[in-house]
Amino acid sequence: MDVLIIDDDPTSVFLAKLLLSSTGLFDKLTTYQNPVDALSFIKVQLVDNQLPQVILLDINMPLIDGWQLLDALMPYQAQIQAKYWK
Amino acid sequence: MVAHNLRGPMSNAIGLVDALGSIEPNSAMHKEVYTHVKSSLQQLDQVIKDLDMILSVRNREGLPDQQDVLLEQIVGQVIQDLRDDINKCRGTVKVSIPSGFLIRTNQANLYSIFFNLLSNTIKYRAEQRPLRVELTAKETAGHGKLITISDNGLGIDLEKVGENMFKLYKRFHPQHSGRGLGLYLVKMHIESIGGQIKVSSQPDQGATFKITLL
Repeated sequence: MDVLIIDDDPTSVFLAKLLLSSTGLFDKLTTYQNPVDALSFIKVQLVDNQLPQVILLDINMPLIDGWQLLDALMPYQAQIQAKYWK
Repeated sequence: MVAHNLRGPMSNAIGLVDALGSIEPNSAMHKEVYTHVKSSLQQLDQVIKDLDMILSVRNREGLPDQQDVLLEQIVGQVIQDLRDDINKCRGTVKVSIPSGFLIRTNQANLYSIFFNLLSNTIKYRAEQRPLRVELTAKETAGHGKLITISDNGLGIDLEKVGENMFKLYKRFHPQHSGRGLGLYLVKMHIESIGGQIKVSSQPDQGATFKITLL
């Protein structure tokens, strides 16, 4: 399974990678600390039909927050289901 | 937002400490996890210090230590304190304050307002042009005092930022250091003396802050 982690906090990214890697369930972990770069990556993946199966998306980020990133993906909502938890 | 900034590093620290139990001691990974634990605790410590500072400022706002303060004197002091930084970026600050322009407030808070606003003009300047700042103050007919600070800096996309402009821990230029405290404090100080602050700006077109005081 491919996973994409988007979080501006390096420790949160490190911990998510550490915990996910330890499960052995994931083939590929991609991380972005810059949400704008992450959005560009997701759009390319959508075009190539290579979207990761799971995206862990932080909400509070500078530049664009998690909600704004999700809004930008609205045209592709048929391919993406969002779950929110805190 | 504050809850997020408290819970985030705390959750990370707990998760990392849990993970440490299954990692070989003295390994490179063990050291890396330890470094992140330390970083999380330092973040937590900083948030607690920020909250302590904000609460102490808020408590001070209610004290009867307000006095008539000469705006020109405070602004002059701030510019003097920022002189090295202004010179480094070939900046100029044009000040136009009528003689004897008084504001009834706490002197330290007034300094904090203008220190934050003027240091922001330096921090968020556009590198490709010398910094130009204009600060004007005037009495308006029936609308109290109006103080305007304009710069030719990076500006900000207010459509994106919306109501977050003056909120705590909100940052809009992540390539620059800062914790998102300054504008929150500025607004808090201004509102404590019955004033208002508004901003107009466009990306790469600078920003204008307008403070109105009765």
